[in-house]
Amino acid sequence: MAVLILLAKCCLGFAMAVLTLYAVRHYAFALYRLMLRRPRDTMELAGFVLPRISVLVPMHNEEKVAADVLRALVECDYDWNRLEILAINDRSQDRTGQIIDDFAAKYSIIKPIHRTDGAGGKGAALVQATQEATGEILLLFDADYFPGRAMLKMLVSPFCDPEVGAVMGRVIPHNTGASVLSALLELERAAGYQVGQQARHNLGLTPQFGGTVGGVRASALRAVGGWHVETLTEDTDLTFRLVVKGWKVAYVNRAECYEEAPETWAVRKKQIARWATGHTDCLHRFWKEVLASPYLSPFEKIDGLFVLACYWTAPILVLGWLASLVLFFSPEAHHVPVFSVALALVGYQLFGNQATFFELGAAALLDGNARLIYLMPLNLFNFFASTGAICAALFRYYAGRISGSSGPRWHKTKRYRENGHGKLFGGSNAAASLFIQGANGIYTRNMERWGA
Amino acid sequence: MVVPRPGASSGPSVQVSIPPRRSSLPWRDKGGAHMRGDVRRAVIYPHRSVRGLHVTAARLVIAVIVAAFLSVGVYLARERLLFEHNRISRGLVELCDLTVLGVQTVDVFGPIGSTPVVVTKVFRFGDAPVRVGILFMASVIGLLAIHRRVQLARNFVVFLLILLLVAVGVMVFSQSFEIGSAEFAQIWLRMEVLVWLLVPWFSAFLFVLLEPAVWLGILWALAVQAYAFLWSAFRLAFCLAVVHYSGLLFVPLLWFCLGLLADLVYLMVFYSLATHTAIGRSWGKRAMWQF
Repeated sequence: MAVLILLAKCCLGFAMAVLTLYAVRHYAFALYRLMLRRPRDTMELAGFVLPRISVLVPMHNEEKVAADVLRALVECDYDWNRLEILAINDRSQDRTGQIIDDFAAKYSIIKPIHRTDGAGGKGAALVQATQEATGEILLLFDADYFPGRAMLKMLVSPFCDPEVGAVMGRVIPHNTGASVLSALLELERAAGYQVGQQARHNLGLTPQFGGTVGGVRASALRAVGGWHVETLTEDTDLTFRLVVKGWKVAYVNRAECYEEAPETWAVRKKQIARWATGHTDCLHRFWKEVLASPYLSPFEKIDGLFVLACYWTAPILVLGWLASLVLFFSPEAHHVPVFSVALALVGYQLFGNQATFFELGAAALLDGNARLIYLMPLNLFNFFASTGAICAALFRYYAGRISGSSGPRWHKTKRYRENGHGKLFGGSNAAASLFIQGANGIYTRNMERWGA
Repeated sequence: MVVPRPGASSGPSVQVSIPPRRSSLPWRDKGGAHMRGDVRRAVIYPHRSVRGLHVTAARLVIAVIVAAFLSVGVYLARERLLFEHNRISRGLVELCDLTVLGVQTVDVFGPIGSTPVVVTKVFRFGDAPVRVGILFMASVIGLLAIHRRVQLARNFVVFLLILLLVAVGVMVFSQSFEIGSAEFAQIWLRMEVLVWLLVPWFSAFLFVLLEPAVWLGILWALAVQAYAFLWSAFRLAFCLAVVHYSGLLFVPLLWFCLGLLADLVYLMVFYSLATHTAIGRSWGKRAMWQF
């Protein structure tokens, strides 16, 4: 019994220490983003830096959304003489290939790539497209995204710095009203981008390249070995391969692009399980390189490890809970409260997996998003759901590593948009009125529709 | 050793020299034309992405003073607070018609000292094991029903089920383990007093810094402190009632869900309310725009 209690105390102390460090880090980010001035924004150079770019749009069974993203891209105000759009039909079994061909016949800047064999998945599609791309900069969009007219210029602008290897824009869910989950995810995404990514950019740390609404310098990509097709999170993988070799990753908060967030828990759990597995896999592959990299400052190294290990917080939290449960029923029960206070505080601050409640509020404050902030307490349930899904995913991942199995498979995130045959930006589609395109070319949400 | 980054020595180099610029702030428009709505706005608001909050050193000092004032206040008035806390919870327990056996003095912790707590009769597993079985089954069925119908709460329900199962395991296999009402109240107060001491610091940085009107931020901090005190007494009375009727069965559930988690949930609710009220005003008052 004494050994069990000692073990429980050690586990609780470890959990508290780790979670406290994460909580402090998130607090620092939120306060820094809220209150301190940011460094020079490369957005001021948008339109002045116009290298030749290739926009890569991998698609697998995307007939619902393919036309929308292609139409939005051809409407972008980037110089067509320096632009090519590589629409990749990755072994689709629906009308995706036909939609791409229709657009390619109409617009000379669209180059269709039809993949019929070889490895599947986004990584493999990107490998093939990169071989055919002629641009100095490769921009990436998933098929369910809505880039505004000025988006390409915004994303290209940080590349004026020759040390920048990759750039990331901001992702905002557009289907907030679809379910409580999608509304909660908007809060979480806002905290992750508006606060987390921007704070890391401001502090000279490493914002994460997300694999969509972003870009990578072709020469940097080649220098670090190209895309890795075997990873579940090729974006995290590329981010760390770039930074350990000395390239910088920039974040452009104003490059806002709309996406579809999961509307059901089943889809969300698959998505977060994939992220957790891929991220943790990157942790095992990169932690030594991050620590040994001569290009990274001590703070960048520490933050890099925090980013890589972020999904470990879920099992550590569960470990802490189990330990406090053991202590609660032990003769040492009188010690529990103080420990529990600390554990609960740091644990709950982390709810939402990637964002503390303080970051959720800070993001809402900065965005002026008063509409959804009332839902914040409900994020408790999101926290429990994410914690369970992450623990299950990591259990499968480590079980797979021990048994030597091939590891988890990539799951395509479900699309919800209806009738997306090119009518979103100009047709009679109901979704069209969700967005208004301003004179500056940025799509923003039509608040009358969203409010309803 | 400084190693040059890969792009540093090659590629185009762009010299950027643009002086810092801050847009005209609309609330400095003395005429207030933009507020009347009869003419076009004096300025075009910059994009939200380049927005921050202007926090002065004075505001920071006020936040620290408020937090320190409330924490020290709780410490100095600890005897009175604990006495009133006990009075409220005892009143509620009596209102529920529970058998009050008396009052017992318990130690809270260190410098806080001791306090009287109400003692009630507590249900023991050996008294009526069938009742425990029925309560357990009813709870499990209820939780499973929620698990099936409310997707949002599924993992939370699993968490509750685990706590319930652990409690039943302890009741059945370790019958010597017991928690009386005085012990429960003691554990409760040790936790809650710590919360009362910590909450002001959270309030200071959540409300006083962010709220455009400083007095409103202070009001929010005071409201949270008052709520923390009153809600604690209500929850303790409820827990004592549950322990009176079901013994140890729901104790872990009460401790882990109605204890600190509930404290954090109301903090969250207050924070979301305060943020909501602050959003509209902060866009026009304390915002700082940068390019």
